[in-house]
Amino acid sequence: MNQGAAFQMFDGHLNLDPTERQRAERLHVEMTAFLVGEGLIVGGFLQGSFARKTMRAPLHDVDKVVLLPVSKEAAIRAQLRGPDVVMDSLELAIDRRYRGTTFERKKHVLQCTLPGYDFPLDIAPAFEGPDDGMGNVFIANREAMDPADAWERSNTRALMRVVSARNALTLGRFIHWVRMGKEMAAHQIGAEFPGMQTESLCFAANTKPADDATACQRLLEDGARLLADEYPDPTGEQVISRRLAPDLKARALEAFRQSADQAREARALAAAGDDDNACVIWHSIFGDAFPAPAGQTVQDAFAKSYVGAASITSAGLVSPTQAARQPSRGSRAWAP
Amino acid sequence: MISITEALRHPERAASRLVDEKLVFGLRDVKVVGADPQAAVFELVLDPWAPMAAEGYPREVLVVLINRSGDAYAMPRGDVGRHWKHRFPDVVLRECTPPCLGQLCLYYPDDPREFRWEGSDGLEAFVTMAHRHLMAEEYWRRSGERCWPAPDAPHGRSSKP
Repeated sequence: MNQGAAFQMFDGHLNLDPTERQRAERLHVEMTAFLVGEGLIVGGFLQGSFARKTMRAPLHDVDKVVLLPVSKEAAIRAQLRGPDVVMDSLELAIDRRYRGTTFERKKHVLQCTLPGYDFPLDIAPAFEGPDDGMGNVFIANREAMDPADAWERSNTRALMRVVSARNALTLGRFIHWVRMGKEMAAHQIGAEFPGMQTESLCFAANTKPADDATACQRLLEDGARLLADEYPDPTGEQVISRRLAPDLKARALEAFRQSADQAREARALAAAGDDDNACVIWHSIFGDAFPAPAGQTVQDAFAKSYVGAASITSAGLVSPTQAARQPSRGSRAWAP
Repeated sequence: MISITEALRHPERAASRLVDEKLVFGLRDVKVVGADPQAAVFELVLDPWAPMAAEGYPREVLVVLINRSGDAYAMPRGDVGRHWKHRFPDVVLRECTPPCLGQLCLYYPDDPREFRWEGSDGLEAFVTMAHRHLMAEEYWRRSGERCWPAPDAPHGRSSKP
């Protein structure tokens, strides 16, 4: 199995189902038009990993910002319950148009699960920020203790801009590397490691075009280095590493360190011509989404090991090259 | 690489490095069971390589003795009733050189350099060779004591192991 081809298959497994993506985008357009027609909003846009295309399959939610009319801003902002007042009206309208929708309110969003859709639509009500070219919005904060804090500044548009620019600089590969990094994090650390942390690490690590294996190695190596310290989000506005609980950060650091070691070994194996063993190691880094070649037999392991200079990989397989972590010398057993 | 000199001078540190730096696949534990300026003795617990583990090969305990002359010996422990194809006697029946410690006969001494271990190869290379040999002995047993998994040297061609 060729390492490059295996990464292509891996990438394919992480892509969202294009039909489902189109369906989600149609829903967004349709609902925006409906809510504008109702006079509740003046527009809307997608945000989050779905919008940035850094979400890996399966599609688990779609984030959307709805922009509220400026004419209502002063009245709504005057109330501590302003975000809930807005959500009340959105909920009523959506329920009328999409019967059977279930709703759940979170800190920033009205989560809507529409009949016939496998994913929730998270709607964040927001007011446009000042016309200063930054594109900031002020999104609802239901947990505010004071009306002045009920609408929080968000640079979600700036985040989309910088990620899109980085994607262009890497010839369209950056968003794929983020998905791969998220798959590694889910496999090695767990679902509790936020995707935005992985995206931030990948942003710091990958600034130029590369093949997938090189980019993943950079993400893991730089990720390990950064997790030992502090790092910003892609916009540079926040030190996003401070959002991680110390124990989760420590676990992530260990996972990135170990995976970086393995990635170095995998790339060395592939460079030496042993793509099969490289793929076995990538598989152990990323889990089942990365294709694994057929297992090595006992006979093959002995044959490759005894015949001459070889090496043992971190997965416990024999490489006929000397590129794996543990060198192995050939020999002929004997007895006096 | 852990040199034999380092392993003799600092056996505890060498044991830690073997584990911490993951220098030997399958190494679960290593203890220094004896050391003086002339020699060091390590006891290692080793799980089989992945293909062998998939077929149920056993965990092995191996004692490794190294000395200042640059010699190294690997003695399997546990399950004393097992048969061995390439191993010195495990009791001292007579005075011999090298001593009959029940060590594995890992390589043919007159083979070319690339098929022999020497002290300059380091401790982990010796452990790797001995670990493979333990699994090869198990392969041989499972074949009904008929088949060694790789070319081996005929017995008794030299007075030296």
